[in-house]
Amino acid sequence: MRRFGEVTALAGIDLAVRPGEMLTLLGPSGSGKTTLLKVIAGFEIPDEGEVYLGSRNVTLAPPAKRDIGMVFQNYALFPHMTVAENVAFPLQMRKVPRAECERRVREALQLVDLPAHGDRLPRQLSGGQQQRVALARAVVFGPSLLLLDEPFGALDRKLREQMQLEVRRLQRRLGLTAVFVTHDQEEALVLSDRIAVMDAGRIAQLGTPQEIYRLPANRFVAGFIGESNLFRAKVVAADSAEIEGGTRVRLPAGAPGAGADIGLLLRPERATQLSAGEVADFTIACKVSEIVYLGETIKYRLQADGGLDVIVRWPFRGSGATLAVGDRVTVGWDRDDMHWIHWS
Amino acid sequence: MELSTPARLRRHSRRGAWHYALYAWCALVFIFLMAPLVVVFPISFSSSAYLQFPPPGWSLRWYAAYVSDATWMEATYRSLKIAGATTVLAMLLGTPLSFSLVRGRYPGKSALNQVSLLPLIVPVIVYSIAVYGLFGRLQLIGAWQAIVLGHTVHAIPFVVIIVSAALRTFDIGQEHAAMSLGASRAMAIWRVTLPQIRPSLVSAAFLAFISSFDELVVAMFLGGSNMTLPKKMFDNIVNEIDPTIAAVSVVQIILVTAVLIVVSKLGSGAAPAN
Repeated sequence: MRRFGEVTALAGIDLAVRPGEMLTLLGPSGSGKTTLLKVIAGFEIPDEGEVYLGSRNVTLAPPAKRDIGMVFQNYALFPHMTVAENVAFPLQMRKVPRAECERRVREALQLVDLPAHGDRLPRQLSGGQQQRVALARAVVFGPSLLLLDEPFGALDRKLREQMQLEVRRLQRRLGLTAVFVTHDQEEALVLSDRIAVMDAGRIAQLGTPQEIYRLPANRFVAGFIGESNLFRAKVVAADSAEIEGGTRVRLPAGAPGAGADIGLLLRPERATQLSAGEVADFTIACKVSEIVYLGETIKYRLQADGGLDVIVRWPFRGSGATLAVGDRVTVGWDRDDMHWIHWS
Repeated sequence: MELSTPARLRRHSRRGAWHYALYAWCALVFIFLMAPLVVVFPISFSSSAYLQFPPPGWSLRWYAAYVSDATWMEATYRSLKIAGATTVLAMLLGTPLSFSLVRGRYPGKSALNQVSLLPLIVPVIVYSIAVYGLFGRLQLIGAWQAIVLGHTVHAIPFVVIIVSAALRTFDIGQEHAAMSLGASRAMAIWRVTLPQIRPSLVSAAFLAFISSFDELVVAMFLGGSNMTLPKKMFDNIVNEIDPTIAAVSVVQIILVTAVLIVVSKLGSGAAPAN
């Protein structure tokens, strides 16, 4: 637990990172993810609780004694040192002999594909190259844990995607255990073995990207990850619920008993357009109220006759009839396409 | 477009007028600052025994007089020694103080900040009399170390102002990075922070040096019979006024300029290694 004055930045965090995995702390700003990273790195001392690295209690150990490699948001390369000097820095701090130091710097620069850039200064490199140097510097001393603090924020989209894959490859290749902080859910889904979604200093859900996306545990996660339709509903019988506005739906398996207040989650891509004669567990007649073209998909906002607002997203194949605002359409989904969560 | 063109032209010419006004103003300032030098340099090479401008003839006799006079040389040496020691002391005290004032979180910090700048506000003469009283009781009058202490108090605000400003804009993430890479805090400051604020450190040291090397009042009170260069120059003007003073001035200007050149060499940001 970490408190700042009256504000509790972290509360009741119980998180075990598995060896060799890439675990992402995902959350909006102010959710405590960066504070948690600082606690792990040793820049913050928790008011309560302990931090273990392997079997070693490092709660009170200074950052230098933790053996953790860290890549910072702005890279934090030392501008007065060359690339090679930057990468050599952690080795020098560990009093690695000169010859071995040089060899390992060379290997590390090779690893990030910058073998010929050792004599340059950081400011002579592009953003992506600086990022690689920061990465080389963070892994050159063989840390037992790698921390990445929103490292891709400053890169443009294309470079960011490339670097994400590269970081992932490197992490797998070196078998590094890594904790990655981001507020970008797409990035989290791409990079992680597991994601810890953080909200108000707590872990709202911990799971694989698939679990987080398909089976969000609560409203916060459902709303934060991906786009979703979340209908508030009351369970009225063993297997059916009434959505606000009076629409009845059949519940997916495992739903709670009558009287419970639940949310029903439907991902926009799970609803399909039904032509006459096609059936689904649940069908609804709507009118198109808004169209957003997204490239490979089109997003439609539909107004159901019962008053329900439904967002759907379908692939756009570039040919065939597309819908126009005001068109009438029947959409449907099976009950397994829906996922229920407790409302409160 | 047709409408906007004349407007743009007008704006252009107006900016041109401002430019010329600025040039003229800069030229005036330049002349004002340089005029004394234009007088001092020729007089120092004068053959006359009086401060006379323009000089009636040329010679190096006043430089010879300066160099061959033991009291002048002693005063020069003493001033350099005092200014050097003051610089070292002010940097050693002022730099950690700046770190504390910028980074620290403790009660009374803003008060300490004010106190550290106080020597700039208290009139030098008041300060000098107070220090004279104190050091007189401690029998330190006449010791060069006493002048160093007196000057250090005056030099610290310069160091604190400049180094604090540098630290305030310095990204603490750099230090964190160094620490995460295995450096102790002291090592991180030594290897990462200080090299990056070096231009400010050098400027601070230079100002500390000049503030002592040029200082008259404190040295007058504390120096006793052991004169610093400014005190000796003052006495020379009061007592015997001859062009030696001009020669000394030129030497002093050249000395300070030399330091300034060294400073600007050391003070430029990190240069490429190759």
